[in-house]
Amino acid sequence: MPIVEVVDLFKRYGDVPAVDHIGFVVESGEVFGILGPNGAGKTTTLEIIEGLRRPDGGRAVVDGVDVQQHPREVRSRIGMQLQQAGFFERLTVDETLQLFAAFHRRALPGSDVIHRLQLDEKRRARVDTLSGGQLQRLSVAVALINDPRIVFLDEPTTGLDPQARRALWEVIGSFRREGRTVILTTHYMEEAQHLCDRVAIMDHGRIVAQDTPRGLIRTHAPGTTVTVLVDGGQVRFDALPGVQTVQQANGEVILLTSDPLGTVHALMELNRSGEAIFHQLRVEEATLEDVFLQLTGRRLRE
Amino acid sequence: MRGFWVTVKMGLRMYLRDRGAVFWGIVFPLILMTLIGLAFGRSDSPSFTIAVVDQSGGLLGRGLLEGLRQVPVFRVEEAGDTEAALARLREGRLTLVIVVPGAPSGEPIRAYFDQARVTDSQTALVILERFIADANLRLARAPQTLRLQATGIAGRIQLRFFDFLLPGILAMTVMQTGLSGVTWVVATYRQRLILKRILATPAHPAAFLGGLVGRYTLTSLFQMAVIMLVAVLAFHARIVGSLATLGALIVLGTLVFVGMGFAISTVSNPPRPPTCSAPPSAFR
Repeated sequence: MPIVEVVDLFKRYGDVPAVDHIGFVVESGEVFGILGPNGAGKTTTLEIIEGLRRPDGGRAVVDGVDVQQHPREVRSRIGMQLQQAGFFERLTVDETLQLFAAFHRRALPGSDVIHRLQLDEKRRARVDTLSGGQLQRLSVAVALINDPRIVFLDEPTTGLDPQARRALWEVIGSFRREGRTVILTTHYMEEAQHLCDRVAIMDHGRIVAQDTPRGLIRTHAPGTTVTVLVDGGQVRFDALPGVQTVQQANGEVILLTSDPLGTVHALMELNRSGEAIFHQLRVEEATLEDVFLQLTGRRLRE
Repeated sequence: MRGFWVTVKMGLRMYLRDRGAVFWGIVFPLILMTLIGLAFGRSDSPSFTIAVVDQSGGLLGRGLLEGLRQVPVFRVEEAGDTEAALARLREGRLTLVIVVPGAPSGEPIRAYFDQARVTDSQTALVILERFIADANLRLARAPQTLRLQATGIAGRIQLRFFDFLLPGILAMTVMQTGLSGVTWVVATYRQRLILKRILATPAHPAAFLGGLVGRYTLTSLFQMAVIMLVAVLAFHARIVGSLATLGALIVLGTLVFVGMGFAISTVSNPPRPPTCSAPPSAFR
């Protein structure tokens, strides 16, 4: 059942279209990612759906409510984490959540939210003493305070170290397990690949493709590389099922295959029969980075 | 109004943690009040130092000198040299210099005053003119047909300098808290996208802004109470009129200046906090 519907959305700044007639549907309970480089129009799209910006055309419906007609009603049903928004630096974590809880019709107990975001030790700490990762978690905590069915996260892990990023991924994963719908933007392809059920790839205000991460890779960057370290034996790799190209370097053989399962299976057979000894076997699938490269001719983080 | 009271409550907490706001709102007015109070608050009634240069050397000069010495608000000095006396007038050490011309020349008695100190000079001149007119009448032996006795009736409480100073300090603080405090704080909220974060909640913006106004009104009343308490206890200031009226006036003043502060912070674009020029601007 679709919980967010975006139809032909359009927004321009001056002569430049920031969001260029895009449309997508988010199903209830899924994690939907908008992946794209900086300046692709991700934040503008999100802020229109959140009712913070007015579109120049098209419409967005959230939980059955038209955003343009009832922005405040929409805001009461969703939780949002804004990319850059600040908090009152002289309030503590606890007080900040109290304040935002009071702005909503209903709210979860602050201590629960603090515990979920692992801010227990910092609950009496003033906001201006928090680290970047803690601030980001506070920002997500504020998004969660009204117990929303739909959570919008705008680049939630930008600027975080890998450990903090993993911790936040864990939290976002728990949203999905609770049945919340999550819509997030990111320019990290690992994040989109790891977290999202479906991904829309955005570039220059347009959605250039949308599907599951796997589906995107299958459609736009098919092929898998199988890398093996060979010890002796004469093997005709190009005769293995699915293999398209064979490259050899420093004893490593890199096979590009359209049928990774078949290729790996054949390699295992060779290994078992003793025709060749493989010390290592690595299977690498193409990533969303490759998909973006295929679709736009550029890398995500250029 | 969802969010109003919590904004007031959190606003007060932030105020108490903001040393800058507490300094400009309470400590600074107290320092200013103390300094001005110590500098000017000593003399309870005004007095003017005047110098008389007697070029006549005769009866007229001496009579005038004696007469002027009878005037309670005049501290009379005798000066030998006109130029030296005028120099002291320019330095601000004298209020008037009176030159009595050499006998029977018919020249008028000259009074020199400092044009830069209008109030003092004018007051002293009026007293002097009255004195001269009186002396003329007495010389002409005119009967005193009409007599005037003025009785001050505001004077059940005798106001001192400090009692005039206190309302000024209070007004300045109200203006400063409203104008520069609000401008700074709201511009900062705007710059750090705190306002955006608030607007992203379903609460009505008026609840938050109203909460801010409430917070400023309460802090203003609190600041005024502290300042007045110190003024009354340490400087024995007296408050004439009703405290309720004063409170209402403070609330009204706060609202006016908070409103102006909001207006200024809205048009300050790009949203950069209008720096520390805010407190000095209050003195313009």
